[in-house]
Amino acid sequence: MRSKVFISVFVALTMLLCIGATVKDAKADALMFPYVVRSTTVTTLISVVNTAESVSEACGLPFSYPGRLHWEYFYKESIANGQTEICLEHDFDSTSSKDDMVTFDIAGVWNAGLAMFNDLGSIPIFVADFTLPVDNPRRAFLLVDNNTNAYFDDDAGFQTNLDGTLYGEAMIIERESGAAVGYIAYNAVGGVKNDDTDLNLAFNDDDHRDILGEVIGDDDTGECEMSPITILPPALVTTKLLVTPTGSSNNDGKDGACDSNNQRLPDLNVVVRLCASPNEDIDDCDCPAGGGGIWNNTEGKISFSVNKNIVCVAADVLQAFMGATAYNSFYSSGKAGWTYVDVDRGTLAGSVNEGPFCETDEAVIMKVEIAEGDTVFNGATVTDAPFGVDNANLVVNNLVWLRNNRNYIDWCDDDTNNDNWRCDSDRGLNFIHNQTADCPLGP
Amino acid sequence: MSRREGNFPPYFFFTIHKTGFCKREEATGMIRILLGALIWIIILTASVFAGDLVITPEGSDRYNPVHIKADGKGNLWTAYYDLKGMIHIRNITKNKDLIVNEWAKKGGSNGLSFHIQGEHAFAVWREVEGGLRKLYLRATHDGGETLSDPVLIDNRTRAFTRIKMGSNEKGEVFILWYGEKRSQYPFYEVHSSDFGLTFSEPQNLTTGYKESIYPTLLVDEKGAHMFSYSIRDNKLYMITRKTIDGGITWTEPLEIKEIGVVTLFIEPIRVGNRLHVFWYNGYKYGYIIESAYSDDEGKTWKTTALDETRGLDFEAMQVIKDLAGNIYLSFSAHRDISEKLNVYIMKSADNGETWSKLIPLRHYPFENTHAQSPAISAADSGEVVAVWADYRNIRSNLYMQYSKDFGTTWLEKDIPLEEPGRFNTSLYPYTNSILKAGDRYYLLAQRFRSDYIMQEADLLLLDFKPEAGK
Repeated sequence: MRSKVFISVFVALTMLLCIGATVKDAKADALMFPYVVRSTTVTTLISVVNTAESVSEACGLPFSYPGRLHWEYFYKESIANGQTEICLEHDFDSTSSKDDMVTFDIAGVWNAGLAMFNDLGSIPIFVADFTLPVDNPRRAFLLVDNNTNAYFDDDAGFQTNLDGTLYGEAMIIERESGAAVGYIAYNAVGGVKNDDTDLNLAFNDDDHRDILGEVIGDDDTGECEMSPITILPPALVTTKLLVTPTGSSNNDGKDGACDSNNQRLPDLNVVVRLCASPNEDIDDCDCPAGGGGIWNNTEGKISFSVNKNIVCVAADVLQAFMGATAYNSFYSSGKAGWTYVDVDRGTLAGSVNEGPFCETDEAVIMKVEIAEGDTVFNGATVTDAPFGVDNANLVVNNLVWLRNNRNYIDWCDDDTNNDNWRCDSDRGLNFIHNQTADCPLGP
Repeated sequence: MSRREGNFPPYFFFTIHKTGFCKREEATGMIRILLGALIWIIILTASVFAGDLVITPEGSDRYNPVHIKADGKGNLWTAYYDLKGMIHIRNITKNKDLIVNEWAKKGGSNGLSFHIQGEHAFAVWREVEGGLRKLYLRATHDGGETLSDPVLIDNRTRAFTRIKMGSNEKGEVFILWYGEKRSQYPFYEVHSSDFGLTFSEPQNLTTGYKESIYPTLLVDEKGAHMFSYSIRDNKLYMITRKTIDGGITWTEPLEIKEIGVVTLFIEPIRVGNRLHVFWYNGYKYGYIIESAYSDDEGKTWKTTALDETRGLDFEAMQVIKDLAGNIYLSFSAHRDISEKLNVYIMKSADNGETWSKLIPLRHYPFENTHAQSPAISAADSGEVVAVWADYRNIRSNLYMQYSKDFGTTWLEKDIPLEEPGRFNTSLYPYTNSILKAGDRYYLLAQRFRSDYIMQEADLLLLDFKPEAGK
């Protein structure tokens, strides 16, 4: 009895002495893996690093709160993975420790979905493994945060899970061909709220929280962002856009019941379109009348007007953003092309915003390009039969994260640079513009 | 033994069983036997090749336009690019092949507009030389015997490759294209009054508008009408201008209607005294075909929307007429990307006042394969023939349907124009691939040499009678 009282007092005193940073309005950290996928031949390898130390670790005590990291999948409702299907949610906690890294694959191909590569330190809690436990095929996005009781205690006045203590990478692997693409997880600056009652995770574009331009935004706060994109000939290369809407400060729908600044929603709805002739003037964020379309590589334009609604997460072929007329004309030309990818508020909730969707006006957008190894580019195959392998069995693929950020950087603040068009652009740093010339010989 | 009848001389390429071989010669018994054997050999051989002619044994460039025309004098013509970038205009009937850009470097030539006016055949294309985009015209004025010198149409408007051309018997030739000027995209026009020997200087026909990118021209004996999808003050319009003095003066732009975003297709035709224009455009609610017609040579227009086409996503569209005042609209489309394309026709029997419902051309019970790129021809007799590229055999094969009563009824089953599943053949959807001469139809197709449609193809000429299919 006396020894138990002594231990309790000792723990309390130790905790008072072992105080981490105490910042009243500090925020925890979170990662967004905007596109993960599993199928009979595809899995996604996830790696997450955590550099936050719990008080228990600092004091050499056993785990007080074994749940250190929180994992949350939002996955398509059915194996159809429809573009406007809502998502369902699956979440769990896991152990972790300072400087720990955990790797697993969401389909459970390797090590039955547990931590891989001789890692004994990361254990999923209340679930069998780290996988997305659904039928194949399934698309999803994944949120990881360390906004858990292991890392902060307002009453005790400490917090270690500050913004900038999580890092992640993803690798999407097609196991029959060996094709793989990957990306760094999106970590919005500013962290997440650490109030126990407010578990929103915000990855929105407001206030330029996407420092690396991860989110393409278009809202009333003036985030008129677009991203240029190149498109290789569709008859030779399959191009898809991977789109994950992000919860903005002005989500709308469900008769007002959509949370703002919240990624933890299964039904975020955004519109994506291809805009060949955007307004370079900021007055109107929309792609102007007649602006929709693409340019081919001999400066010819094909015009169209397609507003593609996306819900939760989707991967869609190029034709879905162009319509059959423009796509088939582009396809049969054998040419490459380019345009801008633009976003706008989703429209599925209807004019009275009754839902069932939460309309947002920003998204993470990636481009994937896939070519079979025996595809011929101007007289030569894409792959060169390495080691006697049949080119037809090989796949070449590429992933590009489309970025833009209307944010000044230090470089632009320098007086010698601030007349650079890109610093003065209302359209963000990753926006190219028409620069016409005057003929010195006259018109 | 059958003989080909019609207004065209026999085509010995694929009708080897001509009259000469049907005559019986007085000869000795041995000569008679040998001759008879020879005849059967030739008949059998001709039957294998009948209806099929590879125009381009050296392969053709599928990425540039191809054309088929009839000159009204019994000659079939085609125009195309070969794989070396050379542009051919070929009188198939007389087996005359002319290369119009023999000096060009490979890759420098692009686009092709081809037009026939009696003995005159005109080709216009864009050439990139020395960094400049130039438009050239080259013609034959003697039915393909000789070529004229190239005529430089333009080298200052930074022309693109959508080029339209028309002419009439008076010798007026009109060429319309779009160019680039400080991120604006105007239409330019030139005209000739001497069958293309000399041309005017280019003039801008869309001043005050920006982004006019689908040049559209209708030329007949009365003059020329230009139509355009053009943007002014952030609004989109279908505009028109016309000339009745050979292009010297044009009427001021008339805004027929404020419209949606046009994608590719603007199709004008004249039926009797009525001018029609059809366009495929998208609004916020989706795409639809709209049209307008004028009974006063373009001064005033009545507009309408073809509600049956609302929400359809098109791959190709074509408008034709017959002299009885029937108009036929054919297209391939689907409502959603998850569906396969199918081919349809709509008909107006009253010169555009009212329209039929969608009539599916394909008579096939399964919807799991595409049918696309329809080409149709309509005769005053009520015969309407449609051909399209059909993927029911996994490879693309050409199938045909026909009606004898102006499109009211059609066959119960589609007729294959080639051995199903053996070949990989498609149609070029952006020019008219089919025409009728006499009682036979002639179709220009692209037959791929493998299952890979991005590899080499041959240009193929098929001829058939609807009843026979061959």
